[in-house]
Amino acid sequence: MTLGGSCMGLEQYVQQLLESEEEFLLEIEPAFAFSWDLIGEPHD
Amino acid sequence: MTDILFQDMATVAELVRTKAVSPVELTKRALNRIEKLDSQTNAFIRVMSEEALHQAKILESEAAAGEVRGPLHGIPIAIKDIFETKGHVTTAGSKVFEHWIPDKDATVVSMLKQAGAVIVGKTNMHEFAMGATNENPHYGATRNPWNVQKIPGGSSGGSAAAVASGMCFGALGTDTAGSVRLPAAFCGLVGLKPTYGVVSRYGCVPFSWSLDHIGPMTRNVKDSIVMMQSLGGYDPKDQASSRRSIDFAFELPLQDLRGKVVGVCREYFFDHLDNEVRIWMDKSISLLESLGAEVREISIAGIEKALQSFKLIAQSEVLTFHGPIFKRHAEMYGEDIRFRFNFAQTISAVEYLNAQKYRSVFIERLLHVMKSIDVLVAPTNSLPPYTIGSIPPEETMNNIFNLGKTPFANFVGFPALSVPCGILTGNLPTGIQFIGKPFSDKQLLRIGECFEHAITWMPTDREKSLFQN
Repeated sequence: MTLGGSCMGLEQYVQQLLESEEEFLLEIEPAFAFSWDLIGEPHD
Repeated sequence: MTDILFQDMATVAELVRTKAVSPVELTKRALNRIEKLDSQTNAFIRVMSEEALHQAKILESEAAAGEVRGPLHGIPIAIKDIFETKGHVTTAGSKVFEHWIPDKDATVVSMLKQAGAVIVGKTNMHEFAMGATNENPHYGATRNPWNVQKIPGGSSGGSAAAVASGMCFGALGTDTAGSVRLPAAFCGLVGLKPTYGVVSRYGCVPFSWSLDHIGPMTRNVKDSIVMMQSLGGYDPKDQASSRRSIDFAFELPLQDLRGKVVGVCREYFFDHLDNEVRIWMDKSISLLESLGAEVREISIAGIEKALQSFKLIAQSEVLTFHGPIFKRHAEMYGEDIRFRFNFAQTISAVEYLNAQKYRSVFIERLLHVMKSIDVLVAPTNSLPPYTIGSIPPEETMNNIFNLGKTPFANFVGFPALSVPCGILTGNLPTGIQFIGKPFSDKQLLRIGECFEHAITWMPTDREKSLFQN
């Protein structure tokens, strides 16, 4: 299989690779994105 | 006299600033060395000669006009082929992405270019960064320049091999379980996994969003500081990016470690060590003491559960990204990756959430334990690197746990720095790891630099130590 030739984002490339109507989502729901904001940023 | 390609970045930056050397000349030298040696290391998936020379010419004009962007101006740098490069294929070491041409640069790539770095190429890696051997079924195995029969470590093994062999001055890697630090240790380099959230991951093909980090791989600590001066900072495009900034400006190096407390945790970190690794670690800890540090034995409860939780989180998150692609195109993935995904499919949502819950508890516990110390020291690698081709694909998932003591710092998000500390039989470097409290990256680098300056038993002319086997 050969895709590409033109520039595109990761989501779009994967979407083409899947050849499917199902939406491929790269972004993670913020509640599941582990971050110091969620766990409380430590201080010295 | 040491080849200019093995000089430190600050020295070369000064040569560029004073016009004693030009960015084009430096870039040509780096590209020539890649051409001469890469058949032995297979460090690169793509060498970007044309683009590098084009960029170098622009930087040369700027330097001629007295406009120097900073210490990376005109310095040849390599990047792991997991970072998006606008208009240039980004494979992530896979067949899945062998034709993908991104429409933007990753944030870190933009930052390096902005700082004046010349990107000479994109380095080989373990497929999708999921392994520690860098034996890539699609682009070939990368070889360790210190001993070409051995793996360089992974997954940023191409970056490590390129920097170690003088094909560039520094490189970018990613570290989800130790993929910067382990290859740095095996290739005699300094590798930094910064605090989680300090370096943006936007534009980097994900492995595990809550464990992924990006960090520099260099031949000395000062060069890591130079690279971090350009890499840190808040990026709203990465949900985990921290607004807390770290000032990586140069300071006078620490002359000694008086007043510093170094923690040593024997359980886990010193279990199942190769005997020679243990000897070099003991010698290194004695050196820290002789520099004036107080060495304090500490205990951390629950490390085994932490590592088990790490595995559950890493494998669940990786399948979130790859699941749909794997379902449709399993044949495009290497055999070892297929073993990994088959395991990942057995993990339940409850197990994943419990692992994340335990993570917060464990971080709190570790912060409490580390109140009494400045830094924790541990071996980076437990064992010497494997011989290429000696490990069956079904073992790949466990390689990082057998080879290194690195996933611990990814689980907690604390900064960790690997610095060379000895040479094992077979001309194989080994590394010591300094693990700091969150956002203490600068202090970690300063302690590492002090250790690096004090060590007397590492080869001074590393170029002569390479390609001997």
